[in-house]
Amino acid sequence: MNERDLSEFVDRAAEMGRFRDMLQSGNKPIFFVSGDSGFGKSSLLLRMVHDCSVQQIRKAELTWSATRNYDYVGIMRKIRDDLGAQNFNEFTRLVNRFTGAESQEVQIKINLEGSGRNSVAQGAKIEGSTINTMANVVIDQMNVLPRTDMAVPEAERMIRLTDLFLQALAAIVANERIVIFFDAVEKMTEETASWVWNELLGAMRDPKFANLRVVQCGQKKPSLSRDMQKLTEQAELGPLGAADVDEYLVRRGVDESSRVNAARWLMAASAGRPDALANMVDAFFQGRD
Amino acid sequence: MDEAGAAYLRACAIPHQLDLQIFRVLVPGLDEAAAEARYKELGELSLIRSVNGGLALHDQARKYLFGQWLANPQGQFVVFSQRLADYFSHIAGQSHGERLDTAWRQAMFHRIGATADVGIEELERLCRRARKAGRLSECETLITLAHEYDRVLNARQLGVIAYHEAKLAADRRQWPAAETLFRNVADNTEVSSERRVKALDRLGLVFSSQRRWREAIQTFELALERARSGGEHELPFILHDLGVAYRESGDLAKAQALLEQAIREARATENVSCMAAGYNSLGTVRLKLRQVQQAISDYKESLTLLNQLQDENRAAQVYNNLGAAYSDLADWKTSGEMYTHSLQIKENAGDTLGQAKSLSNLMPVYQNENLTSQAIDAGKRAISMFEEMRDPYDAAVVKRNLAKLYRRLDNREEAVRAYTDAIESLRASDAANEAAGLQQEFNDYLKPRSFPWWGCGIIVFSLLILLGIFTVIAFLDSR
Repeated sequence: MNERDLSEFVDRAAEMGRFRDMLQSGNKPIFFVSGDSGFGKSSLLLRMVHDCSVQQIRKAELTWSATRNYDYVGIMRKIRDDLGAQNFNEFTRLVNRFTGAESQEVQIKINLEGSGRNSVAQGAKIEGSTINTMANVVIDQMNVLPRTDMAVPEAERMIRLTDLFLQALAAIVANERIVIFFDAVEKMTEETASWVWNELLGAMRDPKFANLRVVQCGQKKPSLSRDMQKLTEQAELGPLGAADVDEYLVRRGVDESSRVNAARWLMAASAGRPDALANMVDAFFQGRD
Repeated sequence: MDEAGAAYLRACAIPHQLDLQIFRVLVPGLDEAAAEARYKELGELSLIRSVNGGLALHDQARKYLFGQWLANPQGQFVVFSQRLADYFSHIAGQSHGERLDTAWRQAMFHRIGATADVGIEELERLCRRARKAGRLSECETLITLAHEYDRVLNARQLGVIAYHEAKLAADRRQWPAAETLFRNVADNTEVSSERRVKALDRLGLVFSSQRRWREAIQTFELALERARSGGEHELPFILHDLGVAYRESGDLAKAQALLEQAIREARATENVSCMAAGYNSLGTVRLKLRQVQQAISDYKESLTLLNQLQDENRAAQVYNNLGAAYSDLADWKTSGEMYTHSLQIKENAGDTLGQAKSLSNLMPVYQNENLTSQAIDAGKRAISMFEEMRDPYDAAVVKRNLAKLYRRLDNREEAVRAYTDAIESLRASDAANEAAGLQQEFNDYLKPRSFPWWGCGIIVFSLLILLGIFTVIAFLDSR
């Protein structure tokens, strides 16, 4: 399904250009894309993710939903798992300690061939033909509740876990560019949004994180402090234009004889909204079938 | 899309996202091949996007279709919801950690759709679990999910959700929201009388947290009145909270009477936890009344009860209060022992901020026992811990105390360093007035010491006397 989304993607050249600039220059290493529901934020993000894959830039991706709502620990765990758990052993040990789980370490084989990507294979699964190294990985027991025999306040847990996580992340980005993608951030809870902006993105003021880039997609523009405004590039998605609608119809395989009138009609009916446009074209094909 | 496909699409609006397994739970009548084909067909629609390895309707589309279901939440909707609730409960039974949390959320959500009362009970259970663990984010997620059913829930069910939402707002110190929500629950006649009384008590606590004592007292009084006719279980708590409000507003006699009554009520219902709180609070009243020995006795009683409950964390607070009480008696040795005990509990609990506060309390104790190096060491450790925990204001306060200690010891170099640090830290904590005050104190300290005017007077007077004596002697000699 993602391949279909990519092949039908139109417009947003300006936003993609700004994303690529951000990747290269890092002047404003945080990119916030806002827009109403149905304006193509997730599709744009998908396009950016694909760009990173093509350029062999490692990334982490988090998408919020009503039932899958990452808190700050969940965010750190997901980024850790996407970038390679073996880099975050101290963080994982502390998470296990705070949640009363015994830390277990395993040795796993890491494939370092080709792209330079590290893929951590669970259970010593071997990938590819070139096995370069063994790494100790602390297994996260994925508990969520704090242990009852300790009473570390939540604020302290957050500080300690964040500090260890950021140390590990700094070590990774010292050697390579990393991009973290957040989608549907309007669904983040207050505490989580506060942690993201104050702790995670706040850390990006430190030159140690010069290689880190963060892309966020959300329905509402964030209210930023002056410090964060200096680090953040913002883009607001608007409706598609007539040329984009026409291009979309080409990509959807609408034949030329129908296209001109269809584009005009669809532009008027959809007002350039990508979701409305896509649904109408679906209905057109369904009706024709 | 045929009619069956349209029906499947509408069904997919009930869960927030789905995979093939969940799709088959929704429509168990399809064989594997047919289910896969239909699932693939759905995935081709622009209405649907891939997310987290599965599918989900776009928000607007889901909102519209789910709203259609809620317009007539019977029959098929209940069947689908029940299936999903049972499925996710089953998944929860095989999961732990984050997967368990996610499964429970989903089970709760669909349980509300199937049988609202049962689902709301589940919401309460999960909210209590999350709050107890300090996971306010999780509470918000659960409440947001429950609110999707607002249009089909009755006043009682909405009142329960509002009560938990109010607690969350209070935890976040969002006072206006907490006040409104608690008031609404207290006024909601469909909610149980016990819950309405609890809401009033918590509203009183919201006022107390803001030091709005008059409103707190009025609210607690009202809660008390209502508790006597439905909600007697809450009496000891309300009496305690009312007693504390009177204490903090300065009416110590009334506070003492209420706290004693709270203890009696708690004893009658064998509520050990409330008794322990009562004795601790009563101890503080007695301390304010300068009845120090009685205060110590109350604190010790509280400790005994907390030890029964094995509640070490609250015991640490009581040891702290005992330390303050013994300080009042100038019994520095025992005061130090109490603070040290509090410190040890906090060390074991991994509570760094708590340790910093205990060390900060120990500083004056060590000073008074002339254990200067220990006082300095305690101060430095406290500063380090406050800074580690990103509490610059408290770190600044200890730096200020350390500066004064060095000044008393006539260690000018260290005093200057500590004063400078403290002033910078106060400014960084937005405590501009305190920084200015300390700067003035520091400036006075730095002024070169001038000879006092009366000293000059004494010298001049003495010289005059001597001159007078020499003059007389010279005169007598000449004669």
